[in-house]
Amino acid sequence: MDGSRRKANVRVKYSGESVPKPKMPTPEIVVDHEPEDDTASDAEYSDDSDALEPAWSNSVHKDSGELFYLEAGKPVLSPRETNKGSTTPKDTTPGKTNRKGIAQLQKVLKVSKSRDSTPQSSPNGSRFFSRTPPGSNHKLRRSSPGSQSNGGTPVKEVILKVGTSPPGSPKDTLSIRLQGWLGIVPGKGATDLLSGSVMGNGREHKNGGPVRVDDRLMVRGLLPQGAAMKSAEIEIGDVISAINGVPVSYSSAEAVLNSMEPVKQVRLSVERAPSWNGQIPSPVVCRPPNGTLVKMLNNIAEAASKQQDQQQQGKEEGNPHTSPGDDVPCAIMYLTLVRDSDSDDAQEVLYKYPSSSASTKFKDINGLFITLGDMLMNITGSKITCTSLEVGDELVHVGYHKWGSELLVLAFPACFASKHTVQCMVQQLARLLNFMFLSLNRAFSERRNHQRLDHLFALLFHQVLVDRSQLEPRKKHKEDIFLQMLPGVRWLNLPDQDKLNVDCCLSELEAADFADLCDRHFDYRRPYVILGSCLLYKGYILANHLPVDDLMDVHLYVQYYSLSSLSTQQAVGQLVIWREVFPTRRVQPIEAPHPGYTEPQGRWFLLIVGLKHSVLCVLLEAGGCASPCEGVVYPDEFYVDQSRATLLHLETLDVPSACEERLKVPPIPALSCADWLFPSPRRGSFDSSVPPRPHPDSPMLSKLHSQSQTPLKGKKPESPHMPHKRSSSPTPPVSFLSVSPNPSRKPTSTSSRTESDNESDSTSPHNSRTNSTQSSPSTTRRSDSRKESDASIGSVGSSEIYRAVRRGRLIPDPYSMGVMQRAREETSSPDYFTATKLTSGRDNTMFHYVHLDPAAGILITPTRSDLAFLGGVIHSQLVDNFQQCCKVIRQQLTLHAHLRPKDQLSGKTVLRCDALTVLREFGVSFRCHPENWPEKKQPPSIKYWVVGRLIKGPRGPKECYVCYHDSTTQNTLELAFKLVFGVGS
Amino acid sequence: MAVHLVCLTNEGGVPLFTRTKGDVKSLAFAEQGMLYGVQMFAQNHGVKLESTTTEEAKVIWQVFHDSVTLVLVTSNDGSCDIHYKTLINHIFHAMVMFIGLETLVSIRTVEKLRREIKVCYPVIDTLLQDTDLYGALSSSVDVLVSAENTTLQEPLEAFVTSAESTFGCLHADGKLVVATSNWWALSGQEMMLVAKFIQSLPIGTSSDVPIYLPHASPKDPHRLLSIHLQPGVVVSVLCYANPTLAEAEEQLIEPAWRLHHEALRAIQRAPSSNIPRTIPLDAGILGYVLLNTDQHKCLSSVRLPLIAGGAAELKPLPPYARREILTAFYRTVVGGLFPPSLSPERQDSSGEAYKCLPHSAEETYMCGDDFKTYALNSGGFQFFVLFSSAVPQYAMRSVTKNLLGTLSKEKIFVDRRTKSS
Repeated sequence: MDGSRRKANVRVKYSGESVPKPKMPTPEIVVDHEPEDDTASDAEYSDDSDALEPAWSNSVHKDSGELFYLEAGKPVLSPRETNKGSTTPKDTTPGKTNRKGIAQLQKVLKVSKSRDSTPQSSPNGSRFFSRTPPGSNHKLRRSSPGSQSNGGTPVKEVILKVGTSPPGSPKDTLSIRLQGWLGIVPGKGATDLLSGSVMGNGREHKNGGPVRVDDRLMVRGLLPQGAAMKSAEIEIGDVISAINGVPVSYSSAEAVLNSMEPVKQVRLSVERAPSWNGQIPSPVVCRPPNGTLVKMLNNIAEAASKQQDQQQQGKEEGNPHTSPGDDVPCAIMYLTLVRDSDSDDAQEVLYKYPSSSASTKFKDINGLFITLGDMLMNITGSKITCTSLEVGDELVHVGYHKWGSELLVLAFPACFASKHTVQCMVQQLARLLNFMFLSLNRAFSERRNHQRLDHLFALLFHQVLVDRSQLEPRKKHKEDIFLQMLPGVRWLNLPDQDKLNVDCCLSELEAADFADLCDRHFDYRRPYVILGSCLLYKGYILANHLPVDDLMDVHLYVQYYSLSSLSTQQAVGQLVIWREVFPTRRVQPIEAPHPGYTEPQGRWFLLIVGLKHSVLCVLLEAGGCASPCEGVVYPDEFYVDQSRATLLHLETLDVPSACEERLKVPPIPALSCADWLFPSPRRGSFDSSVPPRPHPDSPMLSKLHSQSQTPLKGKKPESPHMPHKRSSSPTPPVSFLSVSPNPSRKPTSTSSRTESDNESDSTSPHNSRTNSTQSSPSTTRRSDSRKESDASIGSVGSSEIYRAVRRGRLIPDPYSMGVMQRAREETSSPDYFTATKLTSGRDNTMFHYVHLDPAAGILITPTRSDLAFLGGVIHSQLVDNFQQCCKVIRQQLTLHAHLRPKDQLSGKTVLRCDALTVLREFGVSFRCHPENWPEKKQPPSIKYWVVGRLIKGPRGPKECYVCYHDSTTQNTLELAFKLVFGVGS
Repeated sequence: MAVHLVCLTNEGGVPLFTRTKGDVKSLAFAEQGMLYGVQMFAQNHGVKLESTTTEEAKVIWQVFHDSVTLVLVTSNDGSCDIHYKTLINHIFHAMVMFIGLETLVSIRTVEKLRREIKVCYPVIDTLLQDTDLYGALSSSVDVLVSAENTTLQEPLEAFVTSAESTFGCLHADGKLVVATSNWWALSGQEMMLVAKFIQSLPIGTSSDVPIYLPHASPKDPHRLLSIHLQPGVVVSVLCYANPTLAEAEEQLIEPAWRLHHEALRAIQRAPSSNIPRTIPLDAGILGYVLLNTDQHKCLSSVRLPLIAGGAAELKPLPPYARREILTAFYRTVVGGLFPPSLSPERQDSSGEAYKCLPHSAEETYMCGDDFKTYALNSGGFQFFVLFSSAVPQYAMRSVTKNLLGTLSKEKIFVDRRTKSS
């Protein structure tokens, strides 16, 4: 029973390295990290696939090896609720007791399904090398030996020599004894009642199917030097039914072992399923149909097997209820120039979507696009980008991407997408398709790709047409129009502690230091090298260890497959995506290679694993220093599991809840809502949107400050730590690990552990290796970590804030008057929020901001929940206006940024005129009134500025867009710079 | 800026004329045919081809009255389509002005039309060229503000009356100085086109040409008598059969203008700032454009003298660079942020990008490495100012506002129409 609550978290000591290691199958060895309130990893959530057969294996595309598996999540419950009362005394066992055991542990073996699946695997059944489709593992399924339904499980007797003499302390736990004596990692048996397969570790999950956790003692792992491993008789998944003839169960084993004298030999009775093949699993797919997005995303799996009559989008078949696009003239086509004029017209159109009547028009005039593209190349000497047409009475913008003699054409009505948007979209699509298919030609000319393309474009058209037409009042999507066009991913600024956790977890995954993958132990090269990974939470990036070009590729994939909106809208049960990709950075290198170094050539694979609101994207490389691969490559379960384990591990580290907390706190840096600037008219309904004001004389001193001042009490005693932290941060290798124990955050047991960690780290010779000279796949990673430590200097104040806030977050309703009053009473030191307020003066006058660092691929802007927090009718209008205006501003700023060298002049070309060559800053001021002003008088109005600015940086210009009230006089400079050098970077 | 203009008949695609400006080869016949062909292809499929952008250039197609197709190939500066549409619209109406709408709508003999159309070339060429005048860009007439404006009103009225007309005006260097109230009642485009025509006349000559007012009387021609009073200073009158040019020159000029010789001399020597020297200008201002959007008047200068010791002297910009920057700034802001001032009879939606903004823009500025610009949109005025980059950012707003306050109070610039109407 307690086993089910164990954390998926194991410490590994391998060749001296001492870093926490996530392990997918959660061997019950050591509970390493104990969140103080047990918020994470509850069984409700852990929809992991601990079954021997992953649930997604049936979704793997047989020809291409691609996988797009999505399983909708369950209704979200608050983690705290679901965990109530589940905390067992064992869970809070300090890690110290087990520390010795860990230290002895040379390696942890992965307990996994599909162990022996690979035909070419080594005799002792190592199967990490498998690149076979997981579907082929069916014959190798284990059934549960102990279950009554599978009668006739053979029992064999194994005699093992006890290895290192155990300490013999009666306090030793079962696991220590078994490990120390026999090299067996014990676990509880579990049976999935649906498929009859053995589950690992007693996790009650499996696609929502009923699972029985039983009390059998099961082998969850084998230690490499242990007796069990040497004997080669015992395999993972075996059930130990008796020890020395004494029948044992998981609960009784400890007593049995304790009662035994230290002996040289132990006789184990081992049960194993008779045959591995008879059991074809009933595909355990229960996908609650929540949301069309899930349906649409899942479409690809169905499209692979079924015909398109099940199309959810309904465009193809004219499905009445979901076909807003039927009469909307929109289309995407891939055209080629056919030189033979006598050939059929249709051959020129290699691909087209959708096939609604309105879009047939575009097919009819495809010759127009081809001719234009060709002709204008001759006349003006530059590539065609955009055309405006009037179809019927509707203005339609057509964007082009010209590639050789082929032309990618995207058409949208002007009311859905502006000219600039269409242009950006088609460029992004071209990049995405290149990323997915190597080249546009390959993507479109091979017929088998068409279904996948249909799926992608169905999503795109859904995003553009349905969302924007139906959700227009909410303005949410309009806002995203600008952000989508930016070469950056929205970033969520987390407290240092959580940033550190995330980075450590990703680094660990990238280090690929899995026990099974030890080259020394098995004579195989590892199948993939992890080039880097990035973690997204609800569409915000938490950490990125990818080069920026790769990040952009991945980001486009996530964005165009609606994964970010999916993970924002609902908790995903399980998401696994696997496909071969062709990173832009490698395939179309822009930079000149560094002399003396060439990037290894190989094949690259994108692995995306999603769990609830988190999405982890991993870029893998085969070839290079990993073993080369040929032919169709199927998803590697091992890497899927490891990625998933990382996500689970992050969950135990409280990262998702930290993100939630971060999303719940008031905006940092503080923002003002435009509505607060207006005096409330005498109308009740209006008041509801305007929060009550604590300071009547100063409306701008917003309650959001006083609110977050609540935890201020707790800040005072912490202050001694802050100088310490500051002083340690300039030396990255030290500061990276030596996070000062934070009493407000951790219970004492954990902090003492942290300290002991630091001690052991500082004495370990491998410490420096871990931190700085780790064989990182890219230099970006290192600079990232340095950058973060730098940033921590600047943002100490703010991160202290949310840390404090999360502890004392007692604010159920941000607008609750009672809370605010109490907050005001407790307010003592006003210096607290000056750290987060960017403008000077008494009132905060900043409404909104966007900061883009193209060199890092990072976009910083208030989160969606910040906007929801601020609320306000006028404010949402203002933000909308801000986005629209930024589009204009950015167009100008970037238009003149990349100048063509003038020596390309040829007599024939019509050159762009560039008067505003070096534009640095562009500002616009607006005036707005509240709508429906009830009083007769002239409505009050406020004036505000939207300013965009290019800031020169060592790695290219950064872009910064700020929206602030007119009363801010010449604060732009200060604003921009605080934003960039303070919290922002 | 390189420009190609192709004019063809919509039926059959027979080229009427082509103009090419800038450092480019003129279009080959096949290329002209293709430009026409794609448009025709779209038309046959019930689709109207409006514009196409390439990385460097922009192509605009427009068909007028199902009879004449104009294709404009020009540099792409990232501004709204509205400005290109405005230009192509001006070009067509310039043709209407000289040839008449009827001739253009029902083309009988292409050869004859080709010959007739040559008379439009000077005006079309001025429209395609970069000039210091912003009237064409803003569909309004360039004016000159000077102390003599009021003095000259009276002799003009006398002269126009003696010519049995109510339409008359006085131009200096292509800028309107004074005009009768009926003249002000014409549309901005008409006034601008006439001004361009008068500017294109050889200095020291007189002319008598029939013109069709594109909006007021596109089918009935009037005689436009233009007589040079001084080099660059031209008085014009729209009349019917009488008086003849000789009569007007010999009998009517002398009595009306003899006493105002000095005022005319003063107009001719008007400062390059186009405003009286009595109005103080900040030393950092390099150029400005002021539009009266209600009355379609445009006051501009990019040749403001550098004031010794002023901020602008530190980083001087040559006039052509000032003109380019100010033009680009105008084209970016108007349409994208500010509403364009169009002739009311024009109907196309291409200039409505600014309507996407839920709130209305009032002020805007740009800072580059070697310039700063500021623009205001308030109360019927749009004001664009080019500053030297040495001017600090916080000063631009107040300087601009003060100058707009001064200029918008100048009765000479504002009052003409209100007084007359």
